Amino acid sequence: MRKRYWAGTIGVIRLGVVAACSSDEGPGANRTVSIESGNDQFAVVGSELAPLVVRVVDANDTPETGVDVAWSVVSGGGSITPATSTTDAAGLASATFTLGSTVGTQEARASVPGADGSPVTFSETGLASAPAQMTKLSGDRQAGPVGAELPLPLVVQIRDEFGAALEGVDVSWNVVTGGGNLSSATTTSDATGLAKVFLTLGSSAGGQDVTASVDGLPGSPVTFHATARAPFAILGGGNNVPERYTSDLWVHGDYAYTGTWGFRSASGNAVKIWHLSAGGTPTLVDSIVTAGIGTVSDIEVSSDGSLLVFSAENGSGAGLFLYSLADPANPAFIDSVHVGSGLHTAAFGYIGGKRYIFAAKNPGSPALIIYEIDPLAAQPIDPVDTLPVAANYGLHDTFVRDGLAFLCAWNSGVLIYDVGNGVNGGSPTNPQLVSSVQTSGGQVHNAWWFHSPSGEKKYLFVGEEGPGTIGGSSDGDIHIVDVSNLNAPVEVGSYHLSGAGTHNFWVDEARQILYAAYYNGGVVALDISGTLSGSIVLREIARIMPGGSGNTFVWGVMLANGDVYASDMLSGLWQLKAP
Amino acid sequence: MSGQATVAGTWVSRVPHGGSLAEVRVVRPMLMGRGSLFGGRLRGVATLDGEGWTIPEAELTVGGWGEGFVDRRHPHTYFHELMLAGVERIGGPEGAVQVSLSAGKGFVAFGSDDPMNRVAFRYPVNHHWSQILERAVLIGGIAAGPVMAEGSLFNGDEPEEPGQWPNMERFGDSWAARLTLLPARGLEVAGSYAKVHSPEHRDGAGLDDYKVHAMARWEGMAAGHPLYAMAEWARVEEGDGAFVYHTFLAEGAYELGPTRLYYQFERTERPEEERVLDTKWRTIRPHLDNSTLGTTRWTINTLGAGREVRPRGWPIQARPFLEASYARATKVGDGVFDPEVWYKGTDFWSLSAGVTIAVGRHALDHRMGRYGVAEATDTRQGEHTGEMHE
Repeated sequence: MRKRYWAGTIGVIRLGVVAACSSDEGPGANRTVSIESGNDQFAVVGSELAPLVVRVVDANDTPETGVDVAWSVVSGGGSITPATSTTDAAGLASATFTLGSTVGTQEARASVPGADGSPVTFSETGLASAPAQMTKLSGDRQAGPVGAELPLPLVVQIRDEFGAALEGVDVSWNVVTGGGNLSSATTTSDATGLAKVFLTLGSSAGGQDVTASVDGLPGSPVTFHATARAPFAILGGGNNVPERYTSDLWVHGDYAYTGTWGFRSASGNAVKIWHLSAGGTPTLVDSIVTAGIGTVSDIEVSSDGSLLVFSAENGSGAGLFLYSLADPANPAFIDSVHVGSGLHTAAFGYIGGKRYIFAAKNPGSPALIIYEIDPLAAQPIDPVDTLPVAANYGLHDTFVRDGLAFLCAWNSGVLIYDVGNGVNGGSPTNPQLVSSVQTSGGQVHNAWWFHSPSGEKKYLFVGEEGPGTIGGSSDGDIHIVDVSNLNAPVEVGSYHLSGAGTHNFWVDEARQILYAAYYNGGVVALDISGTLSGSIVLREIARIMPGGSGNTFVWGVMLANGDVYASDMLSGLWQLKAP
Repeated sequence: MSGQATVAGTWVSRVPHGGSLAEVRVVRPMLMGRGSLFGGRLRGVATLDGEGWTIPEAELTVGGWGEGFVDRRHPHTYFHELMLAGVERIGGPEGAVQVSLSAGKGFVAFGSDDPMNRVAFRYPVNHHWSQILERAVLIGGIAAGPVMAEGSLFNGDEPEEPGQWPNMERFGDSWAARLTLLPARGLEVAGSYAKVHSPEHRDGAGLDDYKVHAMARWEGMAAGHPLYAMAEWARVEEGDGAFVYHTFLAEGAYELGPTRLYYQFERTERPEEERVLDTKWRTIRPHLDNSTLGTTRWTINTLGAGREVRPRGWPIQARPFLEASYARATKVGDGVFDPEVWYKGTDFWSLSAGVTIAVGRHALDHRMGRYGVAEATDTRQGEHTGEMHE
């Protein structure tokens, strides 16, 4: 770094001594005060100068002793002590002037009432000090198309310890993630302390980080975040379940499984089985139709691809259903359990080498029901525990990871249970509450605990399901909760899409992109890299209404095989190219 | 004491999934008691309703909905009314200002009279927009000359079954106010406002209703015969504007001796909710969330005739009636619910015939849901209009 901030930065104004005429005829008549020393000093702002000294003489130029001299600061914001000093035998009086934070001229005054020349003014010069802080001034949180230059520069400001802008400080810029290009690797602060650079976004959609740094400077580096946008593309599918409304989906390998909901021209009692290809256009190969159910409310395939589980509600046969996927195109029934009033969702959890289903019973004595799943056991679906949940629109969904279960309990918020993590001694047969958090707006429907590529497990994304009209309108935001302290989770941000509400999520953790089903808003891709706070609306990467306006009401979304699959209640299963 | 019950048969030309349906039911079986002490300063009213036994699966009604039933009118709770009211006239018996405090289970001072004792047999679609019933309620009232004001505190939750009592933990979470003007003999004009917390979710997690209601009612004589007319309008907003419903209803009756002719026009919007798979007549209760399937608007014209019969030597009244309705249902706004698909058509005919048997002087003319000063005002109005139902 070139340290040029000492030279050439200050326009120095020399005022010298200002001698004011006086016509006073009082006690000090014929007395004269003048500067003895200490005028016209140069020093770093905030520093103490050599003493300011005045000399007081009588009409015969004889030093006067015992004359009071009053000292004051005229400009620059510094301080001077003492406020009054008395001349000595040599007629001299002095004071100590500590410069203020203003770079440039600073003045102090010595006054002797009635004396000729009074007051006298000392003119000093404050010099800029060393850089002490770098702040991010503007240009953060911008978004633009991939490969495009962002409209606004990234700007930092360099200031000294007193907050004064520093010119001539070299700032180094680096693209940390995203592969973009900068207009310059190094820029120098101008007279207002500003250093700026333009960023051309990289070719990949998602988050991009740029740092600005000054060696040795506290607070350095500072990080700028940008979001590179790219569109979704439709690869195939759509308008392929005309007789039913489509509900949830799961994709494993070359097959997708979608549920159905309510009543269209047929009941929501079917699971559709689709064969997938990289080129798109899922092909329907089979259906599982179950009597006595009105909705397949959730569907999931075990991580090893061997088991298919779906929950069902609304009907005398509602409950949990388990199928073998030994032949993924033709699931084979293994077991089912009936649950009065049905199950809203069912999620796999893998704890202690065993496989569990965490099922949300809602409504009617809402509860989390935990089943151990073992297709080879005498009772393949074995209930091991039940956890009551407040009847506050009950329990809607559960996200299980690392032995923690995040219960999405509507206006009761998110309840975090240890079901095998060890943080609170819980297990699947004995869940232990760790903490809870109520997000703004309540109506908590679903969640995803995000594990970033760096191993950070800071954020929990929470879906709010507001009031809406199925097939027409929806409402509800995505809320971001900081769970880095599991005992004290706190909401730190949110995403709002005007005119639509969120439903289920999927997170591409490697690329740090959250895909959200947004009902009539379609599918939304959000950049969730880096630090999240406040509104993340500008982190929107892409949005698509696969069925078009009036034919889009997306229930679920999932990333698999590099593509994004979306289940649309109105227009069926879609295969989308990720941004 | 009084009592009544109606034996009625109803045929509806179109029901869910198409086809027609006819049913015969005993509806509105009620025992009503009234009493007063201290010169009328303490009054009590009790109405026991046996619909929980006679129509546990509700009553076939075009456009009917509420309390978990749809296309049917729900049974009332066994204790339909159980109210005590203290009434006092400020300034002594000749004082111009009357005040009252009423408490118990019954109607909130909001909207119009309960349809149970109005002119048409068919319950209007707007029952839950224009009345707030079967709540634990505290009503304060004041009447001075032609002006009456009432304020109510109550629990927001609607009953979910005949045997259910109001959720007392929620008492006071909802309120209503009604201002009534009596500008001329027989004429009554009223405006009401209510904020009802989570009526559709008993535990309180549901959406709030903000209800506005206005009505005008007149009873008098026309060409020497009693005439009754009423018109009402209401707007209900749910979920901070997520859902808005309107209703307009006008009805009238003209009595020619013992024969009464009546007509009712109604245009009311109602929510469409996910129905229970196994019945088609029920919606999922409690709700899974705050979404609906859409909104329908029901436009219904109802024409009927009834006749007062007092069997000689019997302490009863009988009112046989015949009533026909024609309705059209249309989809309003977005949503997956399409009446054309659900009912296989959008026009409906409904025919009802039956007889209401009543015992007791006020069994058929009791304006249900009026307590304290409102009851006193009703009495005064009745006196003015010549007791048209007697």
